[in-house]
Amino acid sequence: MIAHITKSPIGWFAFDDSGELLYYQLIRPDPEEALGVLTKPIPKTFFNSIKGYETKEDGFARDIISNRIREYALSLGFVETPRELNEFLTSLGILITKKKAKKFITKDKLIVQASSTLDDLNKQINTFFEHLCEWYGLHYPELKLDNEKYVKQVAQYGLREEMPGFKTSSGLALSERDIEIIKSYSSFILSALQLKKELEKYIKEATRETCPNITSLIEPLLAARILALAGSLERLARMSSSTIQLLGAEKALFRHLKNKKKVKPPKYGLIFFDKRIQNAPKGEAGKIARILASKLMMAAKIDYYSGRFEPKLKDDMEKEIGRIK
Amino acid sequence: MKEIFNGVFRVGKNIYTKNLTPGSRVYGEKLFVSAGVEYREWDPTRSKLSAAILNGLTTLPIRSGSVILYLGISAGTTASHISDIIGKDGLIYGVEFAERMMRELIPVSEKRKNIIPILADARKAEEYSWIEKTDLIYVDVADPQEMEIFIRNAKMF
Repeated sequence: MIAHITKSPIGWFAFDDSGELLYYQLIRPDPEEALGVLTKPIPKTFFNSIKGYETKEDGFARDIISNRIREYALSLGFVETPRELNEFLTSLGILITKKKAKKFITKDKLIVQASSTLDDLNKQINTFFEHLCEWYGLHYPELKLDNEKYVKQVAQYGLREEMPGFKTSSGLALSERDIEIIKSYSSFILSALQLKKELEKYIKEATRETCPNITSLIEPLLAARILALAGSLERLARMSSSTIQLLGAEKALFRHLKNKKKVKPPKYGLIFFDKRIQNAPKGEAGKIARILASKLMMAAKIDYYSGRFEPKLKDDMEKEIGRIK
Repeated sequence: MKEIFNGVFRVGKNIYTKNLTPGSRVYGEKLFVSAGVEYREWDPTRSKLSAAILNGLTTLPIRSGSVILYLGISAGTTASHISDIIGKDGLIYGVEFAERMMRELIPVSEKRKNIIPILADARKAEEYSWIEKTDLIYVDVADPQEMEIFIRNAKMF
């Protein structure tokens, strides 16, 4: 005769072939304890308490318990009311889910967030700068400088008459009030620029730490952008090298897939921002992209699964790139 | 106000459910008090089930006290209304794969105590084989294998 054994959120149960309850051990209605029951093997003492039967842990018993858990929870005195059982099961579900969710939140998620923030910030700084140029250009249209220098000068000097090298201007003369607000605006842009630098520094450091292999192959900022596009290091680690090669070129890829005869497939996505591809002579860029992507694929897998640094990857890649030339 | 299904009320063009946790909202829906009872508006643009009801769904097998397996529960927008209908004696086992949506669901669950969050893949029902047999399965997973998932879960639970 066989005793069918199973674990359940309320304890361990044994049934005979006809489904009659042979033996059981309840736990206290404590979610932590229930989690232990579900995750650990059934204790030996439970098996040993059943005499005269061959014991077997199986789906037969699990089926019975999942049909009758309410019945048993009440009749065996695990809880007094169905509501109590509901509340107990809910806390158990929350406990299990919170534990599981913790594993999903990893350090690479920080990089993903920081990198997309940086992308957005860059776009916004550009718009800010355009506004400032239009605005201050009304006053001093002759001022031509790099973005950052321009903002700094306006923030520092304000009125054109104060600027070094000022002679004449065709712009509008501004009052104290007009220039004050422009000055505050340019100091605001300056602080955004400062934040951008901090973000870049942070991303560089964090990416080097979390993905030593990927960052040995490409710039950490680019690595972070690729990571952000993939969503997480785990997802990147599961990608094929062709997917990595075309990350960010989805639009071009699908345009090609729709109309294969007329539209050529893209050669690279985000990895185009790598200097070796950008500076490659015509006809070689695609080949380099392919090699780079295949090494990145391996690097992502090493970074995710072992985290050990493999200097060989970079040497291999450089050799292979050298060979195509 | 007319009760069109067990626990679902209709006033004009809108439908409502009795708020299980009076005073609190789940997704920014409108609250409405009538004869001392608080109701939550069930927005058809946020919930497919609400849209189905407003478009003339003929039967709604959800009752007070139902035990439901909800695959693809997401942040619990629809589920919160089902939770209102089934009340404290009913129970929803809510399966969701996305950790991000779970983060929204857990506070709802903690408050209502009749929604069990389960962070798992509905394709791998073994991962949550500890749950009980349910009266009803509600499936809203965006997956090409939606039907296969439904059938497998229906066989198990």
